[in-house]
Amino acid sequence: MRQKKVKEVLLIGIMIVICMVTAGCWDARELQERGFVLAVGIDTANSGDLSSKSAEMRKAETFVQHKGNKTYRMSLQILKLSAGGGGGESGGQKNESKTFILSNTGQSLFEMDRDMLGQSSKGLFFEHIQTIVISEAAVKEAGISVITDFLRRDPEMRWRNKVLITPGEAREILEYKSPTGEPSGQFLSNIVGLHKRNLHLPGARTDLGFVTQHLDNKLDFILPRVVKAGEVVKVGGAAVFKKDKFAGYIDEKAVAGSRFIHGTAESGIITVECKEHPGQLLAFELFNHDIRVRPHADGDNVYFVMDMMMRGNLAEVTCSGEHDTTDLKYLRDAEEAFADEIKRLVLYSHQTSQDMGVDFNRLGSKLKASDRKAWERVKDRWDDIFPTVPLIVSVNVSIRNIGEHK
Amino acid sequence: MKMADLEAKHTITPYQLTAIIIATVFGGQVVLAPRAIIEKAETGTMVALLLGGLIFFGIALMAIKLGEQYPKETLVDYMPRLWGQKVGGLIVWWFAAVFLIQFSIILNGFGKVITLFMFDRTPNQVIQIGILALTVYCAMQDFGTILRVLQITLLVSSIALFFIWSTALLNLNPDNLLPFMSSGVSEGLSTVFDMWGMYSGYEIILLILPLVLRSRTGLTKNVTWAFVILILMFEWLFIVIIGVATAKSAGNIPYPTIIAMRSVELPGTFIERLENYLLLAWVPTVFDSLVIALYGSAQVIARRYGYADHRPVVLLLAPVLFGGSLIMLYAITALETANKLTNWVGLGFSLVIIPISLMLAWRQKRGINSATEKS
Repeated sequence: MRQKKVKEVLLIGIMIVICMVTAGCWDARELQERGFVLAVGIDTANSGDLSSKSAEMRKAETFVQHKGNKTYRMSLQILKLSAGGGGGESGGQKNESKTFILSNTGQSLFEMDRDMLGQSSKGLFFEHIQTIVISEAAVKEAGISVITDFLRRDPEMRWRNKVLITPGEAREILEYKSPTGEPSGQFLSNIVGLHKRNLHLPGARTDLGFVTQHLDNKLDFILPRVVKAGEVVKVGGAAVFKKDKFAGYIDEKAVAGSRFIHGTAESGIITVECKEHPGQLLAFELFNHDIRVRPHADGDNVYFVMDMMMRGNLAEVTCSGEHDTTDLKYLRDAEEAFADEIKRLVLYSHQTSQDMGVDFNRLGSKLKASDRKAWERVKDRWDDIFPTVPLIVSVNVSIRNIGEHK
Repeated sequence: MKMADLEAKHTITPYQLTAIIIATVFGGQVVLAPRAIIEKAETGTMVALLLGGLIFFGIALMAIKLGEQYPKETLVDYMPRLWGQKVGGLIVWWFAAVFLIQFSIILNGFGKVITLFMFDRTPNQVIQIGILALTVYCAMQDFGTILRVLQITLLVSSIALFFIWSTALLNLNPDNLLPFMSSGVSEGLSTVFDMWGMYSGYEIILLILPLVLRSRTGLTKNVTWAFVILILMFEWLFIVIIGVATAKSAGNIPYPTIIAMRSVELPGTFIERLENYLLLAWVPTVFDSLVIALYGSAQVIARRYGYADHRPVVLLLAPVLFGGSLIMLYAITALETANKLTNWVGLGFSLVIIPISLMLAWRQKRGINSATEKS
């Protein structure tokens, strides 16, 4: 009986101890104690305003570095958490910015990040980063692999972070006040997310995770380009990378063609000139497609055949008063014109990549995937062979609808 | 009045054998093993995984045939008769070593994964002690309790894992899976035996076979089912990893299973960072395989020395296993050595001990039969 009682007391004691040690997280960090980083901007250390006042500020924001050089300036866009509500929009604070920016110069991004705690009362938390903006000058400095190493290594990072390249200053992009009131990191991320409806935006397979994959596989790739002029910020066109080295920019036409080759153009607008009314345009809205790129190799003679079936609507006719858009012959002619234009876009992109000597359409990896033996034969000379590789394109366009008005 | 002891389980059904094989095999390696495998086999992983599965399925069938020669005995009883007292005793320890080294490796890997992705400020050792304490507690129970826990957690966690993996389909690029043979046939075949790490644990058959209620059709069907499910699950796992992350990237990432999930965005939902859900579903599978590894090795060691109760051995093994895991935590070379060691120990047991034991058993039976006929 006595033994039973001792057992009961012991059991209750153990339960109390278990409740005490398991009823909460010992290492909990409250929301208001975190500095949520929404965007990262990376410039060269000497970018932007170099006036004496700015130099003084830069000296204050940085630290004495024992090893390496002052190579980069990292800026972080951090969310302001106010007592009244998440983004600080409550109670007469509507005009106040929801974010603030901290910068630091150094070589190791992680070292800069930790040193920035000297400017922040809250721990910097990277799990909610939306966008990473890197300046052209910074990627030219050492290549994108070196710059993104910390971002690809840190477990707090997401693979879906959008990575953009700017010919200007990354910090300026972060400082941009969007018309919607969103923090610029969120604003840019949402813009890139709209790539499905915009052929000019290379938003598919360009996130941080894909950058990692391209670098690991030693592939050439493109990243969205963002420019700021005055109060305008625009994402369009792309920065081209040969392996991890910056190789230049391509325009929106080349981006559209590239997206067709990759099969990532889920929707988009193709315009052609009306044959009968020069200067007037017809627009085709792509809804879905079947695209197949097949490599053919005979010894060193490699060529690619691309079959495209595009379906969509006639979306706009600027000379519609002159045409009956329900007329089948008119529609067949329009389909042919759209097919020619799509073919032109694809070949333009292919030609651009060959001229730059950068296989950003990744025809090499298509050859590797479907004909390993042929790839083994040519892989070491691919950089020499690629600029002469033909791409034979065949496009079919089917107009399924003419919209709500003829 | 004496209550019936519901926990003391002396028989299991053939379907429970299937469940135990799956629960033992399917565990820590789904997160810990893919990097090394993909780094070596690249896009040929799926073919190597299939061939490896078929080879170890063949060995599992041999284990069943071996067990059938001694219906009411475990390997502890018949190995010394087949190989002689000393060598037979060593083989029993070899069997235990297969599970014990694996246990320490999984414990070490589990601690690393959980601290890296979930509790970054909690010391690794605390995580390890937590799961070890739970495992020891479960392994101290009777087999009926363990079996019930295994069945429930296996069902819930493996289904959850399967569905969580499947969300990665949203990001899967089929081109990443090609070519199916990334290198020549001979190089491809050399990676097949590296797949032991994925299928290890089926050796438990040699211990639990006497418990199985024999059906008229034999146990081949049940082992086949276990391997079909395992092969499909593993193939699906590697298709998802390579299809999402590419073979090169997966080979560069310590835990590609988790990173493949990190790339998933469920459109129109607030759910993100699915790798955390994956880890939550993974923990019970790790627990299952750790429990059965500890229980199995404690049982054979206890029986080897004539003890009926395995529990003191569980308590004795726990600090040793934790110590082994700590050594791997502090010395990277120790982890590398342990990984190589477990592969060789496991492969040796599978490819040498089980087939030769079966041949010896057949020869011994033939000898007995012919002696009976002569008399």
